Amino acid sequence: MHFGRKLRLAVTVGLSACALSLGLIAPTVSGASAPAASGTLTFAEGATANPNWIFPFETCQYCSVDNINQFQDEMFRPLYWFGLGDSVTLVSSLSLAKLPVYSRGDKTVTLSLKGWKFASGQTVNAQSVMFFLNMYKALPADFWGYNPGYGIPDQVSSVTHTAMAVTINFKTVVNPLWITNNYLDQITPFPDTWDRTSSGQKSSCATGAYGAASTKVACTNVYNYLNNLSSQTTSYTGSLWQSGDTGPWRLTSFDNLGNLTFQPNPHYSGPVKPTIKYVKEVAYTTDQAEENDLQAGKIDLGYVDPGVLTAPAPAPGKVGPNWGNLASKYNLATGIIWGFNYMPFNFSSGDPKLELVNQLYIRQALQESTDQTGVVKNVFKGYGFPSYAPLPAIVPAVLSKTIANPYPFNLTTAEALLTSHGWTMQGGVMTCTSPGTSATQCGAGITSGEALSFSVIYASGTPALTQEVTAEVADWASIGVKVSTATEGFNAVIGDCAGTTYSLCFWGGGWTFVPNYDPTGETLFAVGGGFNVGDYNSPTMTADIKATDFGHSNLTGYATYAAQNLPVLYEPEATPTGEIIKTLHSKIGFAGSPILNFMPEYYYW
Amino acid sequence: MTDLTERERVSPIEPPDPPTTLSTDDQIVPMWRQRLRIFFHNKLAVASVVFLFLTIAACFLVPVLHPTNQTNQAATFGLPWNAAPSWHHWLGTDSSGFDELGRIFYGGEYSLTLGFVAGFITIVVGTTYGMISGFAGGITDTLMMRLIDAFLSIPYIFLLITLIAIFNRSTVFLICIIGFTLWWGNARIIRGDALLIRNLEYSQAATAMGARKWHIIRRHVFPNSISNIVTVATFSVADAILFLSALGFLGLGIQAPQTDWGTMLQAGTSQIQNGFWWEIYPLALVFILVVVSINYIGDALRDCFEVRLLER
Amino acid sequence: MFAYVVRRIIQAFFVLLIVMLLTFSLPYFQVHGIRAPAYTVLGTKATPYNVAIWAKQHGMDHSYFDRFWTYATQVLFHFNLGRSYKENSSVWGIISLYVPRTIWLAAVSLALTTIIAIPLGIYQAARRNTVGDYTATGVAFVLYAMPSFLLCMLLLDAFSFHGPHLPNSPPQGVQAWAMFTSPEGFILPVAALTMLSVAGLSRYMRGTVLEVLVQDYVRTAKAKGCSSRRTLFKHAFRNALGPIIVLLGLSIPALLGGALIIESVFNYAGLGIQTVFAAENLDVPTVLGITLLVAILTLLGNLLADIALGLVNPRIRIEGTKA
Repeated sequence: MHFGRKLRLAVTVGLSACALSLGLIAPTVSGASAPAASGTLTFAEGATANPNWIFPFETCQYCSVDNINQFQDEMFRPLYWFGLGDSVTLVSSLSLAKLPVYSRGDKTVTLSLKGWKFASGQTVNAQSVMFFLNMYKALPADFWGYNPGYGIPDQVSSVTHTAMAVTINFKTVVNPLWITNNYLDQITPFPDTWDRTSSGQKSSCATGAYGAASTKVACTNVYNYLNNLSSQTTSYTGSLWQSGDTGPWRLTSFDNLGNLTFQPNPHYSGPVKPTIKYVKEVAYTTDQAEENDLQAGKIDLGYVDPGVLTAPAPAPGKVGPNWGNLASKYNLATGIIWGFNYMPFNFSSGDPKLELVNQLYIRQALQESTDQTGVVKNVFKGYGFPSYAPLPAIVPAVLSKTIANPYPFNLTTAEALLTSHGWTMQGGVMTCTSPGTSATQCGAGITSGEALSFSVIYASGTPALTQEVTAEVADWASIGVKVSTATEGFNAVIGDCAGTTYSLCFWGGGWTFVPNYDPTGETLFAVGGGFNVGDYNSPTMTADIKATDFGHSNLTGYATYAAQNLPVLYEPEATPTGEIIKTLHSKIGFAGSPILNFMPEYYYW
Repeated sequence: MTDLTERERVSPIEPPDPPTTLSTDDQIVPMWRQRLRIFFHNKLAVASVVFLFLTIAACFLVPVLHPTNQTNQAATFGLPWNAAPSWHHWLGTDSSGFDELGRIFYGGEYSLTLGFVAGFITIVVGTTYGMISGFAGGITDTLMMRLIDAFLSIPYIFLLITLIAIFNRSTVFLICIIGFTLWWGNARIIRGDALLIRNLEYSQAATAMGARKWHIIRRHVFPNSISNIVTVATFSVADAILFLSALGFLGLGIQAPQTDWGTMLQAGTSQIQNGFWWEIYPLALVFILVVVSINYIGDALRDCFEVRLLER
Repeated sequence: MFAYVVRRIIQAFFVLLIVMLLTFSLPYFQVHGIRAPAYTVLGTKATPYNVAIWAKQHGMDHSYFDRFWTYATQVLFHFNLGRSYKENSSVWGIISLYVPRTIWLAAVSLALTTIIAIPLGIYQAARRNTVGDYTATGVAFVLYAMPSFLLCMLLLDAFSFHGPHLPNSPPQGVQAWAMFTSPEGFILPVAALTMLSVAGLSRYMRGTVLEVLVQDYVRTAKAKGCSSRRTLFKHAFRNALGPIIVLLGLSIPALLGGALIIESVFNYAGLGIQTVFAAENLDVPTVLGITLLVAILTLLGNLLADIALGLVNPRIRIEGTKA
């Protein structure tokens, strides 16, 4: 569950493909030249996006791709592993538990552990899952995955367990796909060695009864201890954290700048043992610096700003010629992203143009005058997809049918839409000349003589984003919609989206359904949803969402409504452009990971 | 800069080698003509003035006389981006598809306007502050100077970025913060002048004769420190242009779709490795020449306002 | 002399208080009020409940004066700069991580700057209006006028990607003193920073020496028959040293600020980058802590410069510098 961070302001240059740099493997590697003598794989972290939190139970202050996907996942494996190569599906062979079994008409799920080992020697058993569930129950607001009213823990009525199996009973019927993909995958089993309130003091968070008051106290104390320990980066390579390793990698060095080294975890009990001796992650101050290191050949896995590519991609999702300066050493790689991009409309009472935003035909006119394919082709150099619905660009049929674009780019129909609703072009700006609420009038709350104007705030410092927004503003201006722009840093924009005086806000990275792999909408568009930043409020939408979560509907209905009702303005999604050194091989056949996995255990020289 | 340097800076200088051309004049010439003469004696300065004038004229006239699309990003879709110079685009197109030559003038409009306005604000505020501080003396002076110390000890670029992060940036806002945060050094220099002149015999004589403070500032202090004011003003303009370019590098320059030279240079440097020379070197040349010529003009002005170079 | 130093230190203390007040107050004027840090730290996923907790934890519910008082006492009496909003570290942790890195870079450049700029200034002053003088001035002006990121990119292009293939960045994840153990990685960043500060200083350097050269005592020395070289070094150099020391002392903030661009291009995580990052994330404690530190360094630099001045040039009565 991330707002895409790929476009986070990185102080300076370039499309920060940082968050997306990982796991992108070149589609083909020709002939595999001489095997490298070095057993070290060097991986470029995103600029100023370096891991800084090890405890895999954190608030969203630390819930970034660089902390979870590139760091914690290498050591502390979640109960269910998703994604291998370019897939996004559950990979049973890499998961700590057998496939979940739903019963009682999908009101109960049973998780049976496989009996893999922590590095401490302890078996990953039901108690280590209970440890996590107890802590989640005690401190839901301190875990980034929490969605009030949905899933775990709010819809859980009871949890029981045997030695090697955990049974979770829900209050209502749940959609198994949703629970497995969006909640069970977030469970990280904790070892008994972590169940303590100081280095010598054992506690009872793992063994306590689910939901009991004493368990809550115990878990809060354990949380405070581990949280405090995680705030001291010197502890990261210590035995306490290492004892919890269930993944193939063990952290052996870590510095405060974000440079770190993994070595194979000798106690790893899973099927894919690493062959590379060292995996080094290197921190960068700017994307420019990363690009310089690529040119110097210092890194094996990196990323490049599409802005410097001189030849475009032949088609979305396909890779074009590499950048000339790197072509001799690196292969260019791309893939799709398990997400979509958008600008939320501000439906909150603070929006001075609320009466305009409330009109579907105005939102529709804006969407119809947004040239998504033009942006993909010109700004992203073909490395991107248009978004028409809150779904990834390519979804399997089991999730949803393909949603057709209800509002194709057409400036003429967009303008006609406005003029047919009582707006007249006056001095280049559409002005309401027929106020009222009938079908051919401007709509409720819009006064005579009101100009059709909005303000947009977007993240500064990224040329591609600036080009995208200025191009759209120019198109909007051509149909008489006057849009003024302001910019702020990436994080400040995210802050600003929440109910300020802008009608639209755009941080540039959209939303990535990671690690909530089922692209449902309760977070984005349900009333009170955790990331419903525009305060969008539609009973139809909420009902559609509940049908996908607590019923067995697939996402087609919800996504179709979301595509037509425009709770947000859909924007094209850039796909990553990674650089992979030509001497590197992979057992999973070199393909991009849409869900940002970084799995160096599959790589070999 | 401590109080000491200010004194050294304005301490009496012997004229190095008075220009010999001046000595051929026998009759007394007005001071301003002498000054002009000294200024025009400096070939480099004259060339700088000419160059600067031409650049300013071009930046403000060319976009009007020969308009090119510099703001409509959507209109560049489908046109070649990063195109090499051709008959149609004399300096090619940039990495956003805009005509590079036209954009140099277009961006110059903003960079130069901002530089000059910010420089002007700097000098007005700095001079006023420095004059008041230097002339008031005593505890007021100490307080005002310690305030300057405080400002000066905050790294300028940090302060600027903090301000930009806190407030939204608009062109007017950029001008204001650059203008209102660049005057501290100037205030110290002017204050040093004021201090020195206040203590000179003629202003002490004036005080003794009952002249009001304001009168002394207006009639004695201000005219005598005009040399430093003008010099400092020119350097301030150059500094403002440079600071704006640094902000452009950090992605905090003028708000798109408008642009400025710093933002353009930053976009151009990312294309250096592609060999798209037209996106960087022509603009870099113009930029450097503009800043250098402003500095040369400042130097020349300092020379010609130097009273001891004048012949009475 | 002693009384003077004491007075200066007391004044410096008040200057620090002003700096603290200024930096502390700035975020209160921001357009979105003080709730902005909460959202930028917690992300918009933060529920109003989370924001409220965060605000309480960080004392946001107290009045402005309360909070300034708390901060000031915490800093002044407990030397505690607080904890960063954004980074997983205390402010002191950030400072002790990045400051040595930046200081080493700045110090080496400053030393090189001094070694280059002073002789250059003397040379230019002694050989003024010759081709050498003009060339040096021209080069310095061009360097001064060139945006620093452009200079860095040109250096990289010429000396790293082409030509001698110098390392394009210092080695990663190393201690601050790596400059001395593996110097080749630092050649380009140090060169860039030195070029920039030489360019910045040379505007003053030549003029300062020139002013000294035409002083009466130098002319007297010449008239007495001292050789011009001896005059230059014994008299001119000693006397020109004063203003130069002051200038160097004053250039500390500029050096630290100027390192920002160097740090970003050459991937040398340091104070500059960190401050910009903190400012953009509204990480108020970090910005405050670093600003205070730089202010202290600058004031210290000024003070030391003045004392050094008194030692170098006894002619100047330091007591007389009072306004």
